[in-house]
Amino acid sequence: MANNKRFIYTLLIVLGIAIVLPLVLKARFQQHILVLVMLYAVLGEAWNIMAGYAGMVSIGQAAFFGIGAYVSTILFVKFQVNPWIGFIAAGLVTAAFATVIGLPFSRLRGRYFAIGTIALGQMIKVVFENWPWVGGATGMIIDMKKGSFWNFQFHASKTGYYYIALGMLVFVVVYIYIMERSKMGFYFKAIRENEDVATGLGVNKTKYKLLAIAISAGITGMCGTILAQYQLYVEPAYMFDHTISVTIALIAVFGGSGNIIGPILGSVILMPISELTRAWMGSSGSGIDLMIYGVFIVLMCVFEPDGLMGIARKAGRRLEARREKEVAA
Amino acid sequence: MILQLLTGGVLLGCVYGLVSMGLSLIYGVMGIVNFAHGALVMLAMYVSYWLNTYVSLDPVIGTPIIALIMFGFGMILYKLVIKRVLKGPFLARMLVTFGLSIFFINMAQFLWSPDYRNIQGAISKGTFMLGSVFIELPKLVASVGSLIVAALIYWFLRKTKTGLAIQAISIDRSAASLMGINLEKLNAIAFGIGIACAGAAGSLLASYYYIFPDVGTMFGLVALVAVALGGFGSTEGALIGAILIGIIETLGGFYIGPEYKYALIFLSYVLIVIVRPKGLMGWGAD
Repeated sequence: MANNKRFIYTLLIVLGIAIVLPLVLKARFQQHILVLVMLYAVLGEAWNIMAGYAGMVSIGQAAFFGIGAYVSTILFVKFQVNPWIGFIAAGLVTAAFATVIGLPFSRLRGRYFAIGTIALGQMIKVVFENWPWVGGATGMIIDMKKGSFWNFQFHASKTGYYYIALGMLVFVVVYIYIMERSKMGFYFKAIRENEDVATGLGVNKTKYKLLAIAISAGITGMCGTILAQYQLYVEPAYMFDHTISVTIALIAVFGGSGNIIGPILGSVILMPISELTRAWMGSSGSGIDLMIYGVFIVLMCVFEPDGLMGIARKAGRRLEARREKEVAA
Repeated sequence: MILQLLTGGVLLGCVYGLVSMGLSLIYGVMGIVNFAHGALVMLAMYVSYWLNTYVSLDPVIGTPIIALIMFGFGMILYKLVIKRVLKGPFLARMLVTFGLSIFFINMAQFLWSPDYRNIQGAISKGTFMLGSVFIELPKLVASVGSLIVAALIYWFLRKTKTGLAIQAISIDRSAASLMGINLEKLNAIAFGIGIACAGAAGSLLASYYYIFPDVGTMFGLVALVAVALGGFGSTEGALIGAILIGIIETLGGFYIGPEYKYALIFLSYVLIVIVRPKGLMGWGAD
């Protein structure tokens, strides 16, 4: 229990730092990185629900991300609906879409599922590229409005997007915290560890798999809306980019999947590295940021498959052991 | 017309088949899904390009050399990376080759720029008519070459001692190990052969295909789909799956529209895997 309390206090302190940070880092580029760190932390957590907890490894999150981005943008551009309503709609539509797709997908296991998600990501992209009503391959531009919270647009400073993403992150972290301790969380883990045994013990496999997919997709779709409003345009090549799917999975795995802190840690470390290398190397270094990503994935898989959280846990255990030894002595 | 399309599909499918066989072999023996397979096809294409540029070696004639180079590279890759994750958790086994793929593709982009290149003055070029069917010679050469390599692999797996040992491993690891098969050594050989397949395919493709850093991605994905269709672990299944995909691609590209051809491949993957979650000829655990 004391451990739990310490955990929550630490989170609150981190949250406090996160709230103050944009007041310190004021340069445009710094704020750009901050927004991305927050956004990908949420995306990583969403991936975590599906893959880290329920064991369905997705490398096609961009499909959900892009659909979310398009839903709010279509509503805004074609029907003049406020982006906040679009934001909620993005979550609902993406979750509904994921449930429909998830019905057949929940039959697939392990690598067949993962390849299926890659296939899904590519298919959805092609559909949007060839759909004239939403602008085909050129996409759509979101009209500039007066920058305000109500309009979901911020021009003078990007901090608005940062705080929206931070709000989402807090919401998602609290949600996962409760989920981890609920029946659902245990069912997810049971399915991850051994589907057949879980089913044998009476877990409704399809229902809980679909729940995990839908929740994960819904959150991912809402993140899509945030990025669409941030960029003020959507295009298939960008919103459905395979790199987004890869980055999401990498961030979660790098930080440590299957626990709350992992994806946040992964995003805080990897996103600045990727953005800074891209900025430093300029266009001549195109590819260098992803090259570093590649090396990170390989090193992580080879040396510490549990991610940074695995390293931290081991270090913690060693410290504990030493302390016990000292007490005994 | 349908005959023309079918021919095109089968020719394309044979090259896909070679890529897929390597992928399936690697999976069957060590349970690794090599997401870097497409990237290795790309690397082989670049090797072929540089050999052509600097020592004017024709890509088709150079195929055995490039396959050999890639075999060595595969062994090194196994020793450095793959070997270390074999006992790791599922996520690590799955994502490690993903990391390699991202690394190779972006390394190519960094070192050699994203420009499209193609090999000038390859030996196999031109077209001819066979009955009413119009055939491009480089594609024919590439698919015949692929079939020859595929036959060689098939022969190797069925008739040589090493090949039989590799098959034994893919059927039952621990039993094979108890019979005195050196798993470590044969894993490395199997991985090398798998990558050599990708290398041979890349070299054959280099004679008529554009070469750019992302060129392998589609081949890799298509091969994954082909292997999943055929069933992970089955080399014949992979070849059949790949030819099927070649046909789907050309027919779909013609009747529905070229922009949808890859979407169609993926759609057929999803449909087939849903009906048969382990592919057409697959067996074994997840």
